[in-house]
Amino acid sequence: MSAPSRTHVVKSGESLSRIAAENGFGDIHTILDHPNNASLKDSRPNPDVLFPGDEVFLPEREDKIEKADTGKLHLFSLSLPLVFLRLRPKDLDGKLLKKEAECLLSTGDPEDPVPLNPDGDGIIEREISATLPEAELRVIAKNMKMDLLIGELDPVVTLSGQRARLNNLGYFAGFTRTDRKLFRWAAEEFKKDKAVSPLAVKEEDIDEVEGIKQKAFRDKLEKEHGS
Amino acid sequence: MANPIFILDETEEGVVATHTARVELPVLVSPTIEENRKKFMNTIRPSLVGIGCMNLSNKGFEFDSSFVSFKAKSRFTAFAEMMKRFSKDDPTGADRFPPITIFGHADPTGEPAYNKRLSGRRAKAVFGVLTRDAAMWESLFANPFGGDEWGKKSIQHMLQNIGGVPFYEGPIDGAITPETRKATKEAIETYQRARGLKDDGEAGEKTRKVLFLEYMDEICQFKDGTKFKLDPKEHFLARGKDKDHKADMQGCGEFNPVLLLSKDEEDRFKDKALKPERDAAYERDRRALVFVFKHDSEIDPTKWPCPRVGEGEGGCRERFWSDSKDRLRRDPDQEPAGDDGVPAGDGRREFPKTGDTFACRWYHGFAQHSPCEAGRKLWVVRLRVDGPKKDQEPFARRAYVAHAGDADTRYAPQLRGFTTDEGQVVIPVMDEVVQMSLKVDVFGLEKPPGGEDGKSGRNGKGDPPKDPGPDSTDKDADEGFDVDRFEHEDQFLELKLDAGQLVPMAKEDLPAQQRLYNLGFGKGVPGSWTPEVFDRAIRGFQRSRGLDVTGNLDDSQDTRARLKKDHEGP
Repeated sequence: MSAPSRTHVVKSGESLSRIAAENGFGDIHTILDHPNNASLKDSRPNPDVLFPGDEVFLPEREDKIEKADTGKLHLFSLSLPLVFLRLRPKDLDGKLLKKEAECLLSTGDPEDPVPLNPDGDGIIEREISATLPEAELRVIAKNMKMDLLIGELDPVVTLSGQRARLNNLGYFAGFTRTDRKLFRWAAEEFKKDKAVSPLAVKEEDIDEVEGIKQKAFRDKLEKEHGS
Repeated sequence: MANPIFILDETEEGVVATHTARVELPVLVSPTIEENRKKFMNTIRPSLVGIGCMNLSNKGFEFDSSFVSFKAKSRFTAFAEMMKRFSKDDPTGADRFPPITIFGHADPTGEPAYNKRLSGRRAKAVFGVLTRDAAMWESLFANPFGGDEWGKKSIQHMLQNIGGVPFYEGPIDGAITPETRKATKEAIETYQRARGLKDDGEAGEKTRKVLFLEYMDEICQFKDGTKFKLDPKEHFLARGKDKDHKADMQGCGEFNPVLLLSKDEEDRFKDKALKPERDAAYERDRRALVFVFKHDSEIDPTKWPCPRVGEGEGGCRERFWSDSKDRLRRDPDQEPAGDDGVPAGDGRREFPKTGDTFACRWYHGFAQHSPCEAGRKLWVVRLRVDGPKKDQEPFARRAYVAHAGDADTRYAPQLRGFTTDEGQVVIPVMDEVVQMSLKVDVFGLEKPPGGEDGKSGRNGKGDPPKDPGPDSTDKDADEGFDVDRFEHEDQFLELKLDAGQLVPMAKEDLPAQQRLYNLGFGKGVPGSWTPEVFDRAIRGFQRSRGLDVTGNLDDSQDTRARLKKDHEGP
């Protein structure tokens, strides 16, 4: 089946690889490199970190028609984007996990949970389906168990994206749009630990949509989080 | 935690409570396509999560010093019992106590450096009791600091409160009169003979060591009288890795007051003659806090921001809020009651009300959700069903799940539990304006009586602490009952709760409408009822309660009072 071109409005939980997979694109570059998506590509340096309301142009898609005889076995391979979940768990002190630290990652597969060990950079990685919405990570030695919502991370230039990154990094920034007190606390603690100056975060510095606009803060937060 | 433990036990000497307000959040992550594998990842670091606390108030210390009073015994017992409950929740099943850290506090009068040391002494005193460290107490006894002098008074106090029959029965005066000096000497001699010590009648270092330990055992025990003792290498946040116990205990000085007097009051108190009055007014700030953290929480003391007990306050200042000065400000007295009869406030600032009186941002992080510092806001929802004889029965021991925040996002923390024997659900209010949805399993089986929540759920202050009963029965009752799931996950009763929506009972119609609505009368959003709807609701309520049916809230039968009473329950 072919599909005509259209504009897709991003919803919560959608990464570009998921949008591509769900619309039959095997390569996200077919979408990302289309001239109509130039501004999206520009404003979202990580195509898998989009913001609800972003518009993605989905180009016309022509499907190959394969002829095949009946009564015989045919193998067709469907190409989907190759997607990975890359996690860097730390301990309370912010230290990376050692290579021996056993982690379990569950993604709803029959072989779950899959035991994984951090690589030399403390990162654990597993290939996942581009449409997987959630997973669970356990770090055995530290008695840590975390529910992961995949594709829910908003860009660092948004309040929700900043809040999620602060929460992920262990600075409890709350979970509602309205809780600015917790957000202020978390942002100042983060800045203090990472030597981002000036330290002060005032009420009026927190934009309802764009969060804190200070570039040094955004850059440091993105770097510390890794995305 | 499937079935959170809920403890709130408050006396004059302090508060022992579980932290209910923190729920673990899901982690929002991004996937990564193959070509970006070099570039992106998601870092996840847990945060330090407090699960319980003890606030030992100034009344828990004797003669306004760092000496721990016998009156603190009930607090230590409550704390010991809470730690025992936590040990049952050890994820490894090894029955360990979770780790703690101790913060001492002084009131905001006097010099910051002096107050820093003073507050550290309170932390040391509590640390000493919990770990039975007689040497730590000895250092406090032998080195008086400013007004903090244990002296003969502490000897008298201890001899009065140990050993069943008191060794000393005279007044606690520091042995300043010939009579009390004689009585104290005799009491010490009797004690020394009873404990096989040289009976010289002097409470010297050897005698003090025995006395300290015996007194500590006396005030720090479980309900059944067995010793409650923590190991400095196992049960503290930094596991005693620092020889001066950095991160295991610290003093906050005067920087984190829960109460700040008004500017006018402080000006008045500049008169030295009024010092006793000022000290009394600031009593709440002189306290020690113990925070309990999730099992297996362990930190590296070199990364901990708080300075050691013996160090100056410079390290504290490093961790201050950017607007710390404003947080410690004194407000002027405000105008007395206006035309509406509502007093405009006395100019005092209190952490439980304003949430912004701590200069230290780091400490603020622990304290802001702690019932021991921040006070507590709880929703107590009573669920009732019509019984067979049309009377209302509590909807007891049914599974519930509460979602906080915007119900339509997946980013909402959950709390699961069971209604109590009284049909109550107790949920912490996490945010001033958040909405909670509460789903109750109406079709599922009733949990057998005697479970955790049914015993420990309490409706805020005023109630005497309930006997939690022997712990073994709790486990039996839970066996074979899946506390995590509803019988039918898709069939439930859903209620919406709005924080701050219920206003105190007054003459206006809105609160009455809200209460009527909550009790099942009226239609539509309270506050927007037509006079007809309101009238019908009042009549319905009056009829159901056997009152004269007048449709008027302010008749002689006082429908209003009954409405308030029924809404708040027994």
